Amino acid sequence: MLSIIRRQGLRATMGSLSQVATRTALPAPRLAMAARSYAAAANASPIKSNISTTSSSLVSSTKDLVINGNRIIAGAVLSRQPLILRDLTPFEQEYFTYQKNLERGNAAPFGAEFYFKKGSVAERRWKQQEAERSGNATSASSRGKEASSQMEDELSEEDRVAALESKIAFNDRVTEADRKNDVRSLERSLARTLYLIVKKPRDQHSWQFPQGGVHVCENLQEAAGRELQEECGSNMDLWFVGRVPIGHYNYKLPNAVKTDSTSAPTGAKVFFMKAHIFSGQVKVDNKEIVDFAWVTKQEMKDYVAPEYYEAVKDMLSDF
Amino acid sequence: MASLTRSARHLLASTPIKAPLATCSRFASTSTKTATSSKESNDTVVLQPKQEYTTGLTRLREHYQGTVQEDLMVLTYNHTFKPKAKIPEGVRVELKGNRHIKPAPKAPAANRVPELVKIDVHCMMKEALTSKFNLLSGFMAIQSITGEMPELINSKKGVHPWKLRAGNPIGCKVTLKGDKMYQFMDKLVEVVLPRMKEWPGLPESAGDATGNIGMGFPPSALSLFPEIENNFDMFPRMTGFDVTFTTTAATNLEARLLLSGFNMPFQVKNRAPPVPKAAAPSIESTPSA
Repeated sequence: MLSIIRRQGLRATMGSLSQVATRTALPAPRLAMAARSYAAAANASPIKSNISTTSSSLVSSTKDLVINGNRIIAGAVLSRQPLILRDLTPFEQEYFTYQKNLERGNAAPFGAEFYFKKGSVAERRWKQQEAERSGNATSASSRGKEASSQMEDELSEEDRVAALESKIAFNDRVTEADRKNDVRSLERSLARTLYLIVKKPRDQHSWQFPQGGVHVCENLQEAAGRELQEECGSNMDLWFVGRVPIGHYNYKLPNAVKTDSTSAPTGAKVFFMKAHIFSGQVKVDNKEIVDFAWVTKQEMKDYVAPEYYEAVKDMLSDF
Repeated sequence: MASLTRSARHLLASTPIKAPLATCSRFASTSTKTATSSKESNDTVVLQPKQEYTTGLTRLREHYQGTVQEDLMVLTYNHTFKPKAKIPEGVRVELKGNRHIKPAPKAPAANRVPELVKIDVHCMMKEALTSKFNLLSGFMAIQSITGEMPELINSKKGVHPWKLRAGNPIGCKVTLKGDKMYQFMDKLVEVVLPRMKEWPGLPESAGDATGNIGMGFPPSALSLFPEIENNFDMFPRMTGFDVTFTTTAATNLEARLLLSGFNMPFQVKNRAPPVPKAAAPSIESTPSA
């Protein structure tokens, strides 16, 4: 299925992130969709908004934007969406198996003679699968086993080889990165939403979302995109979800120097912009940032300062 | 086709002229039906399970709840929303052309994020004019691709030049909701549409301005469905069909955003010019917060 999509090149380009993941080790049910395809539909607003359109190209200023004594800062909440379906709770698992058995029991009769030609390999294979399934359903009952063993005898060697070839092998839901606890890998916690946080070379508030000051004549989205590019390199395929911030955070500047001028900012306002990553990886420049991590909401608590977490936690996905 | 089509055949044969549209409702019926209908259904093969079973998570539903919903909330957010002035009572508003008044747009809210409500799959077969049994092929095909028993559609009016009489079966329809709807959408988007060669995607103008999007498929598209692909020879007549996506979106734009969130391809005519990468020259270490 995936290969078909790739060949066709759907306008909504699947992020090659998910492709990479599939090629290497991706467990069975995928949930990677291209949110970027929104851009194709809303051609009026978001696609333009993902591109610098405002006056910044006309007036290129590196002056920081200060409004009412507050520096305006743009942050980027860069997320990697879940790649596989979530884990089921034990209750859900039980419930679904129960429902599956009910469904099988009450299903309408299957017209095998309609779908399979008599004596064909497909028919034999289907009969074998059916025997296996009924064996599973009645688990210990001898009847199912008998039936399946009978089917085994009927099958030729050729059939067995064909069955092996067509058998779908599920990959592990736990990846290598999970086992090594490699927080820099994008292929960890496949069923969860991951967020990018970066570490700055300082003692307090070192772990944060990538963020930086907004210049005069620049909108929030451009500023967030520019900051990401400066801090994390341009080796990432990103899509910003709209132009509106999804949250904000105020704080007082600790070393506010009031002496030099009255217009010096006393505080800062951080506006967070939402973005998705489709491919690529962060490249640490060792100047502005020294480290990075892809973490879930719950893991983020261990990295960032408590007041910072308190401010951003409602923007983040619990799943 | 014998056992599978038996009930469909019976359904067609037993359809009296000018019968109500929902003749086949008895196939999904429970004991609440009248005595006559239950007597009739005794000698039919019930194709549909009596109850819906939830046997697992649905991929697209999870995707909608996890990603699309949140993104749509951001994308459709309007900070400067002003409710429209109410039309005073007794004032009649005339709109130009064949338009009618739409409900006033509501303020964006978390509980008003556009959502897929249902998918209608509908087919009309001209061949059914000559013999209603020609409809069987399309009936079976729609049933195969949707996994639900279609509802027979009888013509409301007779059209003499076409030799169509009122009440004759002329098409069939399935309304998909819930898990089945998302599964059908998944199949469409992942398997069928990518294989439709030279189909450029839904046009930008798609939508009926009230949040619903419809599209038509040629007969050749039916053979792209995996259920039909393997038994292509078994269906004597391929038929074109329409698919309508009904959403809770208020505008075309919202509906398109929602569908493209499920990877539905859309045409983009006026692509914005490429980003001038060097627009912002690399600024050395901006003082960061």
